Amino acid sequence: MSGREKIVICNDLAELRRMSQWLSLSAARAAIPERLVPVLELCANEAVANIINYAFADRGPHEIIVELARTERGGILVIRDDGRPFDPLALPEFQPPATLEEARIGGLGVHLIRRMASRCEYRREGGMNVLCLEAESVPEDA
Amino acid sequence: MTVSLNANWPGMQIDAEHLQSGILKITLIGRLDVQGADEIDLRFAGLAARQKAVIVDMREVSFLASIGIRTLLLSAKAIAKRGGKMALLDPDPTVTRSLEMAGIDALIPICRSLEQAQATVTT
Repeated sequence: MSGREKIVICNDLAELRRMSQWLSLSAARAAIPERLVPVLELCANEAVANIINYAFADRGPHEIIVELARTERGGILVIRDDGRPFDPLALPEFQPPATLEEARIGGLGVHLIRRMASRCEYRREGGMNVLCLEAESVPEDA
Repeated sequence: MTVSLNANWPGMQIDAEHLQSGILKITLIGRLDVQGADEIDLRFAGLAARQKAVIVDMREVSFLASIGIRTLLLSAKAIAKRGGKMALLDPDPTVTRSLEMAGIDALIPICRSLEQAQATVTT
């Protein structure tokens, strides 16, 4: 992982667009394949929105650190927050609803991350949640 | 290299047009992310209320997050409850992928032409 790009945002949903813009520019600078950028952008939006909405017990300001780096076949996002320990990947698998009547409204964000990212990893480190989300081109994309 | 992050995306646009045979076409333009969904949620729900055949023109939607899927799903559920139908018109490949990954394409049909969408919501 080289040429790591980094942004620090605060726990305010209005920051998501600033993050998305940063991500597009950083991905271009890091020469991450263009087709993977929407995947990384969606993963970052879903993960950070969840953190802002659910991670912090108090109403005070918190920093969320998002890093992006190129990997051999794509890009990796590393997202850190100092909220309560929370592993989004430990949530039960989302079951796609069979009918509109059955369709539930919650839980979609983490489901999208799981489906879109080629690798997801969570760890608690130094009092912080660390979520690594990777997107890579599969051979048939090449 | 200094990067300017000042460039703002314009607000989400929403327009509605009554087509023939009681179909309402709602056109969305912009990013359907947290901010975009917040901008259109009320108006979208209001427009779709009491309708039985709704086409959502997605051609100019450049990004779709789960919060935007929620907006579509809530109205689609309400319409289905009334015995009606919603269809999505020609979302771009990135948006289509979000819909497919969420399994929404199985619940709210994605149509590639207006004719197909009209036939879908009136049958």
